[in-house]
Amino acid sequence: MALRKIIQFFILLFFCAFTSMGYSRQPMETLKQPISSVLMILKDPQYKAAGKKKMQRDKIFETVRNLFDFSAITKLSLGKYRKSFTPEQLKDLIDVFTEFLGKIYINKMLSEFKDEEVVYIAEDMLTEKKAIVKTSILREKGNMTVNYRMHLHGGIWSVYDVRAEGVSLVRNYRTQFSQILFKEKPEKLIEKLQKKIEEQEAESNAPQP
Amino acid sequence: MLPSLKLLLLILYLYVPLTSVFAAESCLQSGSMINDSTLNDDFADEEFDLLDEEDDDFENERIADPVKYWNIGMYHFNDKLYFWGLKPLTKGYIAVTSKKIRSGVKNFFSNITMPIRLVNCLLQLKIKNTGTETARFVINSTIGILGFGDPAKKYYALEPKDEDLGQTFGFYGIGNGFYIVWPFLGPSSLRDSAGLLGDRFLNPVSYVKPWEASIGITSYKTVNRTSFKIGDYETFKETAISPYEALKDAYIQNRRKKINE
Repeated sequence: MALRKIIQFFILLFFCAFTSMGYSRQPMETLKQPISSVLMILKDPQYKAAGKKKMQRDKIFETVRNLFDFSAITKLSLGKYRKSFTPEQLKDLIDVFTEFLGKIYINKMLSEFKDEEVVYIAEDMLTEKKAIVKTSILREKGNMTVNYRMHLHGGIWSVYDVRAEGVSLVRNYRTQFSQILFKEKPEKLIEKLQKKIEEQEAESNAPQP
Repeated sequence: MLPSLKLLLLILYLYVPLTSVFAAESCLQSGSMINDSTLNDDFADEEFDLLDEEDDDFENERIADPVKYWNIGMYHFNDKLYFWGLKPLTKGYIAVTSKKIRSGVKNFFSNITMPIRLVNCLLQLKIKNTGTETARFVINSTIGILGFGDPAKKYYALEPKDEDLGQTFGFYGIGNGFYIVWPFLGPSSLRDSAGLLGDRFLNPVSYVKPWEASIGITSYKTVNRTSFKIGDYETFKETAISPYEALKDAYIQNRRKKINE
């Protein structure tokens, strides 16, 4: 009798080992963990003090850094203008755009956060390497649908586009970038992004009223 | 029986830790592979897939901007109007009212503009949504005390179905036309502007006499609605490198999404 139980236990363990061997976690699973970490950091009372904002921002950035494929996001935002960038310039652009997106969006999150909750609605596998995870952000201003487009790259699922209320981040920046690159050289785009980051820094460091 | 069982247990005992080691190793490997530059060649193919997909959508939904100088002018006008007029006014309004009152007013205006949504649901042959809007109107006007409450959403889970004539035109395949920014009204397109005109006939507020009162009521509705959205426009501007282009593109994408749903 006890023997049967032992065998059953090990068979169960065997199957558990099998599932833990899954080397590519599903897209929604990959998304949930960083998002709930970020929500926790946003709610964490230890960051309420004025000087702690930078720490909080850095912590959030560290948490989501691997979730987003910034290289893909930058390249997609360039669209056909990618060919006008040398590899050096492209690397500079990826770095500055990553910093831009990180700083600007996280700063906004910090200033606007009011106990929002995230609801996970669905996970659509478009191909075995592409998926859309649909979520909804519940806020007092009204709910907002946010869809994350993810791809499987190097065994890990990462986000390459975010669509909020139907507006795709990548497409929106692509429209803006193409307007700039139509008239100006690639360096100008990098400069503009750099300038925008500095403006933001100046604003957030300004003494609060 | 016992020795073979012992063998089985031994194998299982060894297998479990071994598999977890393999799993951890493969995770580590794939983690470091992301930063490996030799992977870029593989990625290039995948990227083109992503690009192709994005390009298709993108090319189809560009909008012409023949009256660009007018649009840019109006964009700046509306921008100043918001920061110098609407926003301070709304902040003052928020200071003297409670959230309950403002929600009530928002629900009231949403309720009386039901005909717009109802007719357009019907025109788009969305029978179920037509029924939902009808039910919402009946419930909110009665139990919801003339529309100030929204028990339809709260207790009956009946969500509002946002439809307008511009979406109806889009549903039947009419393209955007071109981009036009109206003073006060904001971004629109030729099709959507025609839609706005058509919807005026379905909007009870347009029939209020004298016309100054009608405009006054609409202005109040705008201030009330803005009281919920303060911060959104500022956020939008901060995240954009060319705000005019960003707004144009966001408008088009958002309309496309509304038409499709």
